[in-house]
Amino acid sequence: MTATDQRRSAPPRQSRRSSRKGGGSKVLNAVVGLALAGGAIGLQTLMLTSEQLGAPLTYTGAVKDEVDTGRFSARVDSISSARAIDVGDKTIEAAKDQVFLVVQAAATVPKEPLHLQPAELLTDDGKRFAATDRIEKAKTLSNPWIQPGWWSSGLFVFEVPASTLPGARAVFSIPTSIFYGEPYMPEVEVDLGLDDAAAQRLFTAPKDVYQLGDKR
Amino acid sequence: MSDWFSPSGQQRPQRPQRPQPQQPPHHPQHRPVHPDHQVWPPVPPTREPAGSSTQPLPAVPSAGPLPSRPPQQPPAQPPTQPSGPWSGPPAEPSADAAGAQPPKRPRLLLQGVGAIVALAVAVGVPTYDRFLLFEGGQPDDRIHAVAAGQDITFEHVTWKVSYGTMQAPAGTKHNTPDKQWLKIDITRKAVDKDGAQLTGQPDVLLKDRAGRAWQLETLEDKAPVDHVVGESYVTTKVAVVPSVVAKEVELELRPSSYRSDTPTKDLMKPMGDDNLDILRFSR
Repeated sequence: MTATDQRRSAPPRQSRRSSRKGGGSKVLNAVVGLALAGGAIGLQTLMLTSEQLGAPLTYTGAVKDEVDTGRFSARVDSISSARAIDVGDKTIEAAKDQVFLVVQAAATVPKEPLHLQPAELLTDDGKRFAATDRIEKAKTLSNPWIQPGWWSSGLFVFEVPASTLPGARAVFSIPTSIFYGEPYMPEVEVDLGLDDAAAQRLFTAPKDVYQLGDKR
Repeated sequence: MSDWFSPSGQQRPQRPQRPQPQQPPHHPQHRPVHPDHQVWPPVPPTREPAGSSTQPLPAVPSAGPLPSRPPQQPPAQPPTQPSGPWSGPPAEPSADAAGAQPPKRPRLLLQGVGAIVALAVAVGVPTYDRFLLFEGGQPDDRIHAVAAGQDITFEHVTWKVSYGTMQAPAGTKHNTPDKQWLKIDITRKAVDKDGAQLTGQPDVLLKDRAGRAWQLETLEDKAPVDHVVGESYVTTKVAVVPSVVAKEVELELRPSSYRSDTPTKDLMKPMGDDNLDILRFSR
């Protein structure tokens, strides 16, 4: 027995004069030590994975909410669906069993002008869909500079099957430097508020043609 | 002092003693060997009982109660001690233990404060270290203020800026009265041969006093590929800003350090300077 052990057991001996032997406190110390060690090991399981550590800071909201991240604010004004999209010089048809989900959105920044990245659609079961590349980026909200002082509005188009619609959320993010990637980039996640009935309605009764941009 | 080694000494502030009353401290058959003597075979280390020292060993209070002691008596009952020769703790350590009772609470407080300080340091030092890394990645800009209507010669090139307004062009969405279109002429003139090589497009932004920034788009750029020393070239840029700040926004121009005579094989080389200089043209 070392001197340190003696010191540990000394205070209980003085506080509890009735217990003459240190046996009880020894068991108690062992239990406390095991509990501390177990707790320390258990805490390791809560450690974030590198993927979670690199994940952006998500600010959530509903349709028509102005969601502010500090670097930029975004808002979803309305959503609609279409079988085809008229981009001016041609009409783009959605693939079979899929529909175009058109998210009309607006964004502003408090200070520095920036571009939004193409939005993503996050489904209820965690799948992520990129905005369709069949509609060129210049026709979406990724194209204009988002500048301070006013809201810039535009739209993002997703080409998705029906199963993705219930509970879907639109995710807006901003780019970071390629060389000095920032940690904790902000993103806005807007719950589109689609329950099963609304999703069904969007999928079964889409607009035939959505007019996008002016005809030239 | 004659009965110093006798076991009945009550005042002995002594290290633990194996209860061997029959063993005298000085073995007559073992001559004491001084530590600087070497003998063969080596004397076993236990040859000298602890009590053979001529100096009394002081009790170390911070070491706590001594080991191999029979069940201790509470310090509040000193009269029961002299029951046996070595059964009770010596009077001095028990007095120390009683004296250690009052500082118990401050020590607990000290441990708590120490734990909080340790936690703060453990969290704060990596955070501060990463902040330093972050700050090192974006050094402060050097801002050169230029008086209204004046030009500035910076690294072989003279820059001049003139502000103007314009009507919103037809077909734009930014045609409401709360927005003002600005037309800004940026004039550059190479003052020497080096300046004629610095043909890179500068980074420009409009900033108001609150630090908000607006982007400019190039309307017209009259500068040729090869610049001539002493010749002025005008680049016309347009911007949209809120009308309330249209009179106060100032152009911030960051000259490029690109040289048109850079050999092709050196184009991908990182440039030495970080382009930290900003020319701010007052209204």
